[in-house]
Amino acid sequence: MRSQRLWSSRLNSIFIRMCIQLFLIVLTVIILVPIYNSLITSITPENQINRYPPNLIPELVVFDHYIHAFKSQPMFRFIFNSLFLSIAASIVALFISLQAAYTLSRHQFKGKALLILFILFPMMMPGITNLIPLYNVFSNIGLINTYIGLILLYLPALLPFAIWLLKNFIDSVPYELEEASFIDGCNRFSVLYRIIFPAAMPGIVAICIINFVLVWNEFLVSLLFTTEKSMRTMTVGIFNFIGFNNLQQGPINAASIAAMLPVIIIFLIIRERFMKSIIEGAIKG
Amino acid sequence: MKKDNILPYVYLSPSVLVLLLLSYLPMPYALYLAVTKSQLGSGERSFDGLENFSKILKDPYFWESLSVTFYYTVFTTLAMTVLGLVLALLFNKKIRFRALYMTILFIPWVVSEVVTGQTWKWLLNPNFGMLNYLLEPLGLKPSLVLTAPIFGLLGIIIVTLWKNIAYSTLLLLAGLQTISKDLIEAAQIDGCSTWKAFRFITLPLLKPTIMVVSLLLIINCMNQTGIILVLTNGGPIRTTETLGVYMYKEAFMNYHLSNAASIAVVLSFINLFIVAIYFRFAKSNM
Repeated sequence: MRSQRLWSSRLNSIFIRMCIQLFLIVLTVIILVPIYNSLITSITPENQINRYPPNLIPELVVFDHYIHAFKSQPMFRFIFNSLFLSIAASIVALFISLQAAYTLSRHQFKGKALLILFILFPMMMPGITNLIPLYNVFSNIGLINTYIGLILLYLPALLPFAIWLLKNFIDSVPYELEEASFIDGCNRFSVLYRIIFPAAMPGIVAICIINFVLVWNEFLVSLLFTTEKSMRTMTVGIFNFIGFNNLQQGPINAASIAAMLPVIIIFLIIRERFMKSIIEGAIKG
Repeated sequence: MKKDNILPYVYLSPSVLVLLLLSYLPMPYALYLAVTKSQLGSGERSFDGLENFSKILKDPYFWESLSVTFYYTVFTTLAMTVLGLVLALLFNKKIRFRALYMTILFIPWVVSEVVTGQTWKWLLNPNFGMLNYLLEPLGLKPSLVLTAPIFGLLGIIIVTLWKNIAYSTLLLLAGLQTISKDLIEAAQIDGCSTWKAFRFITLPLLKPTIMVVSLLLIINCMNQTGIILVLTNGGPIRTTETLGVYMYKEAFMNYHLSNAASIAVVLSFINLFIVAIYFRFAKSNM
């Protein structure tokens, strides 16, 4: 009797576990189908793309669409712009936010709570409502179509999160090390870069990569504040490519794959740090 | 801890300056643009009173967009929270291949809005789309979610879910992991069913996390523009035109700067209102 009950409850738990696995497999398929679909379209010969039923598995693999996408559009220029802006904005954001995070972590001063609120509040205010007034100002002072203008516009979306995350990291670095260095006559700058920088390295790497991904994927700001083709980023290039020719699905999908591949690879390499940082920035904020 | 005089303010000034100029001041400037109109010929602007706001409030398109935004926000947030909670509860258990599932689930989150919109648009292509072909045996024509007005927001809600579900799952999972497992085990030993343990222990303890996550999702949805711009551009017949999309069109396609600025001001106030309600709510719950 007892063994029978045990047996049935075990069967039950195996059944539940199988249901869970099935559910997650279906979910995984839903997640991967759009990406898979774009991937195979990007390597299917032109004459086999626009037909029904579509190929589920490519019969023949060609890379013509990638060549075409890079030839018909200044794709290298777009990639260079995206890459340059992502790296430059991440570096600028890192230096500004490191100073702020260190100050908030190590100093006591009047109005500190208010300043923290001031810095964190923009996290809850999406930048889209600011685009119209900023466009008006930036076009008047000639910052449209400039790298500096774009980097400035990305910063408000990057800084609050970066400052908060770095502050949490610096909080966990023991102060004794710095104290000793200060006594040895080190100044703030050398302490920051000799002691804090290495100790908070995991946080610094994480925030740089998150910022890189955010800028790489940024769309609306780049769309509105660039009018010259030579200043467009990858996302804007793809957006215009879609509008320009809806029939060239091969090259459009090739460009999409080229745009998503670098960030997916970066994410796969440091996924754990990445996920942990997102939790820390959002929940503890 | 150090006590300094003026130095902390100096160190903080770059961040504060950037945020002040690019995040805080644009809003009053939008208000200025909304209550003035540009004079023909000269670049100067003259006071126009609340003319633009009354124009916006009389504009049926504005109200349509507001209701589209409202429904989109409500349904997306609900779906995202519930599905995120289910997934978080699953991932909180020891299941096989957990890390692999989590990683795959997270991939769409690092894909840009434009690429997300483009891949889904192609997947849902009415003529050659793979999804039509795959779901044909079930008698479904999924491409309709983007082309038939009766499906309205369904298409963009599905795509938003696809892109962002990992985010809410991850944050809810983080909240779940702070809840002690002993508590639930103790309750179960006392004869509490799994459902009751969830309803009366896990859920109340998870409430603060759920609140933060839904606030982030609500604000995100209220201002969603990129995905919709690529996927449907507000169509079919304006059924997916959110306030963000309407504002974008007014400013950069119809060149009605003052109108767009008024919409921006209204949207900012809605955002502020939501945040204010959230903090009232959070405070009274403490």
